[in-house]
Amino acid sequence: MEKISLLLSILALIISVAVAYYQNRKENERNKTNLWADYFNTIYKEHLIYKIPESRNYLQFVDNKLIGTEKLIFELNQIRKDSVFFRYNNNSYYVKLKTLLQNLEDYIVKTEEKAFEGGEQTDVMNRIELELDGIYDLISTAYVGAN
Amino acid sequence: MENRVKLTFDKTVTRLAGYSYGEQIYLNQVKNKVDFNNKVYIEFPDQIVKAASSFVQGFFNEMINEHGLSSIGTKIEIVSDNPDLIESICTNLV
Repeated sequence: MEKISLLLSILALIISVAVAYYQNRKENERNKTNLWADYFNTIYKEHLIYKIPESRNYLQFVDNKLIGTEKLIFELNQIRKDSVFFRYNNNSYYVKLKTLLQNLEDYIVKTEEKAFEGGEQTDVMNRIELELDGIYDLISTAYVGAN
Repeated sequence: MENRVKLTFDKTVTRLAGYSYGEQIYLNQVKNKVDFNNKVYIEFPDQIVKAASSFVQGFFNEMINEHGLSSIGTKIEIVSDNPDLIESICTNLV
C-alpha cells in the first residue's frame, strides 16, 4: 500500500513539473509573440495607416510627366531605415522588404524621366498601386506570423 | 593633381537608379582612378537631379566597405550643384 502511495506521489510530482514546464514555455512563446507584434506596431503603424496613403495622394501627371513623388519616395526610404532592426533579427524578411521598397523607388525615379500619355499614365499609377500592395502584403503577413 | 573624378552619364540621363548600375559606374569611373589615401572629390554633373537609394548603395558599397561609412563626407566628398542630391546620397548610404 505504501509503495502504491509513494508511486502516486512521484507520478503527481512528475506531472506537476511537466505542467509547470509546459506552461512556462507557452508563456515565453506568448511573450515573445507579443513583443514581435509590438515591434511591428511601433515601426509600421504610422507608415501604413497614414503616411503612405497620404504621400500617395501627391502623385499626379502634369504635362505627361509624373510629379509629386518626393513624399512617397521619402516614405519608402523611411520604412527601409525604420526596418533595420529586422536586419539583425529576421534577415530574410528585411531583405525581401528592402527589395520591394527599392524596386518601387527605382520604378518611380526612372518613370519621372519619361513622358506618358493617356492610358499609359493609368498603367503607371496601377503599377505603383500594385507594388505598394506587395509591400503592405509582406508587412501584414509578417505581422500575422508574429501573432 | 586634384584628386577629383567628374562622373559622366548619357546626356538624356537625369535620374540614377539601380544597385548594379551604381556598382558599374563606380567600377568604370572611380575605382583605381583616384587615390583614397588623400581626400577624394566625386562630382555629379549638373544634369543629375536625383539618385535612388539603390544606386547610392551600389555606387558607395565598395568605398564604405574599404574606408568606412564615416569616410563619406570626410575623406570622400560629394560635389554637386544640387544640395538635395547631396543630402539624399548622404541619407541613403545604408
